[in-house]
Amino acid sequence: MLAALRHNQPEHSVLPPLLYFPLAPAAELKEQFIRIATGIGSVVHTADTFEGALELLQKTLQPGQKVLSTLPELSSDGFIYPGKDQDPHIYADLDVAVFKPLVAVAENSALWITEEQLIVRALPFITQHIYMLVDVSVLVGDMHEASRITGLKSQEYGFGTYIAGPSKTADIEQSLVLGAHGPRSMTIFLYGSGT
Amino acid sequence: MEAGKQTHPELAGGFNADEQRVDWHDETLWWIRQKRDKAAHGIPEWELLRETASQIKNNVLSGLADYLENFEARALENGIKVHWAADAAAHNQIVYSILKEKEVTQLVKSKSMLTEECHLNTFLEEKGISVIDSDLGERIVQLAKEPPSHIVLPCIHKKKEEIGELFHEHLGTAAGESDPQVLTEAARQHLREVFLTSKAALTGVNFAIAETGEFVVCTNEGNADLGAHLADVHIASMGIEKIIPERAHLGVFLRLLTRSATGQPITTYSSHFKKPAPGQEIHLILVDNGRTEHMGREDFRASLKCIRCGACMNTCPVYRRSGGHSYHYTISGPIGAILAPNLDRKKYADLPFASTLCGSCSNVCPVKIDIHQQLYKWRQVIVQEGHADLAKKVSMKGMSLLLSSPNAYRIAGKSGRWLLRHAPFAMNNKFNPWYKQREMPSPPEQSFSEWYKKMKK
Ligand code: SF4
Repeated sequence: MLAALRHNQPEHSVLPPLLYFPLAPAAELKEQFIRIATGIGSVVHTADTFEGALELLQKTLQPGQKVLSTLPELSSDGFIYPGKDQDPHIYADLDVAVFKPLVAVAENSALWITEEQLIVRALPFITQHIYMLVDVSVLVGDMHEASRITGLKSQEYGFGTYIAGPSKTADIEQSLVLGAHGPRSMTIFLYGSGT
Repeated sequence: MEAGKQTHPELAGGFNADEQRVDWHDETLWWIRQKRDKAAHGIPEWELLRETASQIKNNVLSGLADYLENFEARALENGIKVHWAADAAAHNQIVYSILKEKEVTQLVKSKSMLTEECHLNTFLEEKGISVIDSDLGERIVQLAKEPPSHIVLPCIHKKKEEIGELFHEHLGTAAGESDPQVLTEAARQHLREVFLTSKAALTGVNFAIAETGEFVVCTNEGNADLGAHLADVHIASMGIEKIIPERAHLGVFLRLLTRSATGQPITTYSSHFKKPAPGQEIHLILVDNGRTEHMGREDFRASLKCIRCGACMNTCPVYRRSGGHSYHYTISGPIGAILAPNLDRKKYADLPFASTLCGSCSNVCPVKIDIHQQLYKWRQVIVQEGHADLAKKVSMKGMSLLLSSPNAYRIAGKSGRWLLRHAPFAMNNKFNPWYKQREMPSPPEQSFSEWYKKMKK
């Protein structure tokens, strides 16, 4: 198969240079991120500090909800902490999952998260609602920069995903419905000053 | 396909019988096209992105064999099991043997045009394995026992009332219920159950990275991930052309794909599968099915650059007003019309003629495939190879339209006899009556229906 392919391929064509665009100032990135995240159906709260964000987060939780978090800071207080190698099916009735993504992209509000923060891969998809704690300092402008950072050897992963907003579909007459198969909502807690 | 021997003009004629539906279909797709424009205009470097993506894909085509070898080696290192399938039958057999070994009787599938191309569902069902499409649009057409009519929007041709009826029959929703929110919720509940009980999941692949051996799957619904992460076995099927060289190139494609497709800044999920989770298996099937042969056709190989965004369909005046099923091939619209003749020139001789050659497809294509030029070239090949019986019939009828409009009269004077005799549509765009289409929201109503009426006769 490959011999025939080799024979049929066109002459060598060079790769273009990688694209790079200068980073906008932090305040601009933040404004753009919030605008786009809101535009695709996420709810965004802002706080000055991580502690402030946690406080806001606690307030939005409702009694009786089954809540999970992989953040060490939230390892007590009724938060479930997932175990490695657990069968994901046990989380079929999960209400809220809280994560802290590694990179946030201003141009499309995508949040990059890998297996290391997920522990169990199915979690951000199986949960009914997803909460994201985002440090302003992990904001980048575009997907070129995001691809570069998330591709670094130091960022090795077995599974990683960009998540932008709640799951959605418009397959029925192009009417947008949030909550297709994955989370019905995404709430982002954006904190810090970006320095 | 079920459509049998009917040609595009005949099938389009059927679709055109319901004028209101045609208008609705046309407007819906044009609305999506406009969302695409808005998203594209929001990116100052859009044209640079397209050019870069095009050049990366040119490089991929020129070095595909090496890239595939590299990709395979990295993927194996990562613990992914790699299979090669020369054709659709081999692909289906591989899927079946994996499922059989694991004694799996239910497969949950996310969107994969490749498995449609291979007719995997029917094959597996004959072997007693039930296949459940989990993308909402695909599930809807599956319940309706129809093929998808669009590569990104599989049930774009269906009205919500029709979907309501299907759901009433199959999922037990209330009779007469047609609210998209309610219907989507019903599908969510139904498919949750499927995700939770399936031991095997099959997904498509949007991009496979030669440098790292990982592959990327993009969805809005989260269905690919739910299926894959809840199953013991994840099978991913990809055409060999899905390769990109380096991970750093991914940014270019993720920026272009969804903006071109639906005008969203990115899909909700862009998942990178590099290694199987502990206790899980990932099988990746690399499928040729005519691609190597296609690569050998200098004039047509550029269509292998396609990233399946669907923009060329949404913008196409003929697609919008004839519907995806009229193309009687898995992939419809302009891109389908240049891919299909590669597999069977006789069977699909009519498709390259299902175009006005207005060039709108080439203008929106994020990887700059010269779609309308390939359509023109296919017409010549088809005529030369003697599959022209049908083609000529179609093109002569098209000509009568051209001659019926004053605009076209001018063309007749200016272009040579040969063109008029053999390929009346193949004229310099400047003289093409559809030329306006590039900038205008909808085709001149009158002449289009006239055109189809004449084609139908
Ligand atoms: S040919 Fe171009 S526009 Fe059409 S689906 Fe492929 S990538 Fe998109």
